[in-house]
Amino acid sequence: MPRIFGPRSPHRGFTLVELLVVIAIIGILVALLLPAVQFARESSRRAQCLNNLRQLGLAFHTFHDTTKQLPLAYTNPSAGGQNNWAPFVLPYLEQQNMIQGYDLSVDWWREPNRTIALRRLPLLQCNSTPNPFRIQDKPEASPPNKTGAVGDYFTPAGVHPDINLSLPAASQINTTGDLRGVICWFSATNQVNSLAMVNDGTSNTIMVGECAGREDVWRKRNQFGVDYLGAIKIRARGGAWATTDNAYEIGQRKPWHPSYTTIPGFPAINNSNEWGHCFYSFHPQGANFLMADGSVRFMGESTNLRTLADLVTRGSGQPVTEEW
Amino acid sequence: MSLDLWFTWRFFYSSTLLLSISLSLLPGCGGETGPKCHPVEGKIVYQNQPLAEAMVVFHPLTPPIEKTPQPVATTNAEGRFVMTTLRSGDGAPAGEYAITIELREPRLVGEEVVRDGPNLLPPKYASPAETPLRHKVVPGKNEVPDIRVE
Repeated sequence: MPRIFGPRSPHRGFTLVELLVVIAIIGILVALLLPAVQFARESSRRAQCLNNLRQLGLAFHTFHDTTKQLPLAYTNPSAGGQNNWAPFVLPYLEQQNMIQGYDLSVDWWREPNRTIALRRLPLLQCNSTPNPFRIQDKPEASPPNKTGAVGDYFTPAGVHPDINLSLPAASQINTTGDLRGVICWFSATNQVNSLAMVNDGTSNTIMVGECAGREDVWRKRNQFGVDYLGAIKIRARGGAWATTDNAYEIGQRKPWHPSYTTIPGFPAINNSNEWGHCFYSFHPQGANFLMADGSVRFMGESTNLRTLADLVTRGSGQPVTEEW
Repeated sequence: MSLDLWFTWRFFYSSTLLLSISLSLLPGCGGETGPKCHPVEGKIVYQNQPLAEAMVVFHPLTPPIEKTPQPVATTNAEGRFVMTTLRSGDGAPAGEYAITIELREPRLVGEEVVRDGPNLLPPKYASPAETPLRHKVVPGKNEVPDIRVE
């Protein structure tokens, strides 16, 4: 029969100090392990984002095979509905069900398109971006609001001449040259886009880039919540995936509204997600890109601004001289 | 050797010491780079009215020591501007500047009207070489004397 009550066992228990030491050691081991786990998670999100861009590239190319053109960043605003490139390529993206009933002759924020634009399209979103359920809800002088679920990708429409304010004298761009991007918008001088216009080489020209987190403003990694109506109007234009504000010319530092401050710092990858500035993603150290040939790649934050400008223009005749 | 031997006070002290040293060495980065900027504010008057939505750019006359973007600002409804270089409203690095001012014609781009058309002010104010406007930024707060564009 085992002894229940008797002299104390010669084996003593653990003291508080011993327990604390053990807990501290475990804590340190976990602290060492956690960043590794986070890195692995981020790298899988980045891979997922690259895959989204790859799918988009296939859709753009299938669209081109079918129509012999690339979609415009937005169509002629005075002819029919105001729509961006997305509803044109989505049917080629196995998103036919998603886009069923979309009427290209109607503005994107009016029915029946309004209901569709409010649907979240995970394929147009990057997993690294916080809160994928954000919506753009921009008040208008006459109702309805311009409302839609957000996307994290945009088509650079070209390079803005203001970029020279941020470039050293030796690497200024020629502002009289062709500064249009692959997916340029409708204008008197640009009625159609096609791969044949990409004279700088399709593997050297960016077709789609990241501008994540809109309509909240992000400067570096600081968030400034969207405010359409306050005394200081804060907004990163172009949040909704369906908006014709999606595309912009890179290189500018102008704020959306004169009540807000100028965008600080050089236009660079991950400096700000504001309209007209540069590329922005939540991937550490860089952002993902889809080139016009359908290839995808990651470029670092330190990528030279002049190199980015040469990569955005489709026919500037400027070769990309730097390693990128 | 018994496990108990490891849990002595001596071990506890030495290990905490070692840990605190190694942890204090870990965060070795941080700190913003770039030159020191000094706040610069001012006001622009055109045809006796405050000039709103104009783009103000400071062009350094002496090349900056470090690579910095040009100080830029947009005037508000009262014609006032606050220069921004590396952080919102931080001003400009000390030195001599030529000031250019442009008021561009409004143009519809996407869904918004932006000031992106041809310049509406006399062209000499838009050229860093021809502008008569100069200002020297000194350490401390700078108030540019009211600029009259004629």
